[in-house]
Amino acid sequence: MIWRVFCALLLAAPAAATLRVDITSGVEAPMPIAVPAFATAAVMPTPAGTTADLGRQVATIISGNLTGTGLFRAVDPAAFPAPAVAQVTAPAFLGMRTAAAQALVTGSVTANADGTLTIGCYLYDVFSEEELVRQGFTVTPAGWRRAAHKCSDLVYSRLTGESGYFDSRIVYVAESGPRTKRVKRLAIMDQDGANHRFLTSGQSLVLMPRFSPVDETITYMSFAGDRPRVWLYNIGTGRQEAVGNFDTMSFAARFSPDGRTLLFSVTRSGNADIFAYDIASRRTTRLTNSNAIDTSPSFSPDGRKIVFESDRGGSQQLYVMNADGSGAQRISFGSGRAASPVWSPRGDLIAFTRMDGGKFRIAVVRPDGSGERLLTDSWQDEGPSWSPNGRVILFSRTERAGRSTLRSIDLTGRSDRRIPTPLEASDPAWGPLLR
Amino acid sequence: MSERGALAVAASLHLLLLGALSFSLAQSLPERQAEVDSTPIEFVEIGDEPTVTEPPKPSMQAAPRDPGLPPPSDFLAEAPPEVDKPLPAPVVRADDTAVQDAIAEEVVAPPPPRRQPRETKRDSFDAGAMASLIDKSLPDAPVKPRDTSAFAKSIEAALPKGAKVSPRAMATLEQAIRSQIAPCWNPPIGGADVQAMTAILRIRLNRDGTVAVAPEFVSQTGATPGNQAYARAFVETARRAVLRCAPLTLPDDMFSYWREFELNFDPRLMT
Amino acid sequence: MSTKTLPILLIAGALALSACARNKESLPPPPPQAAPALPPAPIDQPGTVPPQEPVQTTTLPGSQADFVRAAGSDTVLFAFDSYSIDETARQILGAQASWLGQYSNVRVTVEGHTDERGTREYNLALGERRANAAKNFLAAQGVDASRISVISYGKERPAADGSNEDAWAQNRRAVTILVSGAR
Repeated sequence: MIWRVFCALLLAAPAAATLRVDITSGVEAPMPIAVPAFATAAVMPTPAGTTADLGRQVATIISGNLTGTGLFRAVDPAAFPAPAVAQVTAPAFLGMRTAAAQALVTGSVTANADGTLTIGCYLYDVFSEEELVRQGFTVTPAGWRRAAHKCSDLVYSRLTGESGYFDSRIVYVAESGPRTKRVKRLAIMDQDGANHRFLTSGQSLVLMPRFSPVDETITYMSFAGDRPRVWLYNIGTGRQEAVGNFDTMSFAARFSPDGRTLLFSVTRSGNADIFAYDIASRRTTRLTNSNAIDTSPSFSPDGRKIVFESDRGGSQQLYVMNADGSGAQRISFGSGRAASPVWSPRGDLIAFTRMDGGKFRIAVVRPDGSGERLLTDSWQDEGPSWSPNGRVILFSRTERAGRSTLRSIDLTGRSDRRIPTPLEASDPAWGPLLR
Repeated sequence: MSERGALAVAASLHLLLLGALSFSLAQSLPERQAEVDSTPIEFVEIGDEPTVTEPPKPSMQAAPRDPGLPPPSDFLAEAPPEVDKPLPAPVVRADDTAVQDAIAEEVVAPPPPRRQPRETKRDSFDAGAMASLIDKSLPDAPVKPRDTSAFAKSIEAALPKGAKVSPRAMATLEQAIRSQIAPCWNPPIGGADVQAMTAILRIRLNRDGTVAVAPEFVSQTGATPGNQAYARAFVETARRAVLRCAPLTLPDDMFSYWREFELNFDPRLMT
Repeated sequence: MSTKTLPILLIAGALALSACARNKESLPPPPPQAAPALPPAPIDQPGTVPPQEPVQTTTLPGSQADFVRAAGSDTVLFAFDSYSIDETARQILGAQASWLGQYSNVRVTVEGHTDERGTREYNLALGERRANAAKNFLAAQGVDASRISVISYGKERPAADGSNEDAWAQNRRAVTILVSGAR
């Protein structure tokens, strides 16, 4: 017995003083990931192409989604053979390691007897040789892209620990014609630019569409009947409804996080104040009453605060107030003006347009006004909109005397990329993750 | 307890143990034999190149053990939770909306049972292991007088801690580890909680620098009920860094210090 | 399309084509080797269309054109990020007000515009400020405020295309538009 106590003491001593090394730096390089063509047990024709074709296209979409984040880099698929069905659940990790991939996304495409497709999605850690996650998605042939986006979301969320955003849509304003007689139409598309559709004819000038975070409703501003005001538009049913009954212009509308309230500005003899509109009861509440332009209101994700811009102090700056309009505090400082703020769905940051030195740039700042960072550098970048996971910012870029395009950027400032649109484009708004 | 005190305690305990062993009392601890690390360890080699700069002096002052340390049995019982818990079964759902193409999620197959984690060896310097090491080393040992002070020196050299190595050599070792792990670590910068998150892993290496046991999760700061997925992904980036960079190239004469050590992954300076 | 407009369109199309042909003649002749062989002329004599009778437009009293001629301009300009009425604008708006005094049943809309150097939301509000400033000036000159409505287009309807000082100066404006003619 005495020996055991003795030994216990001896054993405990080393544990108290293990060498510990702090790793305080790393690399910010994209993670190499392998996304070979998805396998198919039997090549079958489907309305969307053969299952083998779909297997290649699904892999291409997933690879495009992941690399587009800037967090991943696709390993050349030619570096290793595409797996057969049997290898989907038993991958040859050695080949992946040789190709320097750290993670493997693989899967299969199966045509079911009822005409649907099942797309299996598997994620492996190449170095630990562990399966990290797997999930199957059954879709109609026309919906196969959604399965690829769902698989992308699964992989992204498992590897980053953040929720995905690939199975989502973007509403924006499509622009055509000369600048002096611009035709503007509402349009909607998948976040990768696919399935593009126009929502309005272009007869009336339309601006600033925003998605409801909870359903298929969009709010936007239309000049229909030379009465510029805010509208609600259910894109599922096609039903439209003018918001409120103001004699003057209402604009810059945005939904609350629960989708029940709209915030927007209403002008009155040259000034603009912020109002809240309860969609169910159609009741309007005034939130600000200043001799200034108060606009671009945006709720915090908990619904308790509102960030907005105001020139009440002499120039456009950002302010945060309580949801009832009380306690407004300026949060933007520094040189130039600050405008069009929008609160991240994550809550930790506010994206806005920083105007300085003749340039408009997208920036982020903490809700208390600290830690401002510029993310873009171009002539005119404006109108930020967050991805549903609060990780990526959409915005519109206008070149000097040039084209307007949609772009997205990671909140770290990496991966500034163009979102393809058939026409020129502005005022993008990211919709919620689809169900 | 001062470092010197700890050294003295360790040294005196070791001497006592050695004394016991040399009187063939090792067989009284048979249950420990099962845990002997199968990795061959060249005990004598270390003994030949002692890095001990100051021989320990037994002291009465050092006799009481630090009560703050948990007894070994508790330590074993409180093994940290496995980082990779089996995934919950995905929810089966069949949503259909008018506008969207119908999409249904279903479970293709349940996740396979996770590999049985290898039994981790909490301590490679248990008495049984030491007994066998000493036994093994004896035939190869250079002819030396078996006086106790020589034994003390060689044991000090063999011990990863408690012994005193030159601070400069230690700093060099730390830097060697850091410079090989950092280029392989791709921390999840940009996550909402990255500012407050760190993770500690226990690393066990073979003498050739390869990973002996999969890096083991020790502890983490900044994890909350709301960010578990992120916290898990964070730990995995750290583990991946070690696996990617292995084998490490580290000074062979200091193997006793790096055969088991901890890495504290802290990206706060990066953001 | 009505059957009446069809011949007019055809004639207009023919004129446009002949204009193109003339433009082509003014260009330097193409290299000879590139010249395609012309098809032979048709045997039938082509028919001709007599030239159109000339029409001149005349400004009628009480029209937008009459208003612009009398007031000097339907447009007043503003400085950057400003909605104050300068001396030039005072003169134009004063003349507009006296014309509106003559035609007391004319209703107008004042359109406010901005240059492109502002965010969309702010510019809508700034355009409204400019339109209101012009409206208030007209009202101060005796025009009944109920005859004047305002609308802001922000930066959506520039008068001049371009990203330079000259274009910006032209685009920072308030334009008075007649919405119902004089009787």
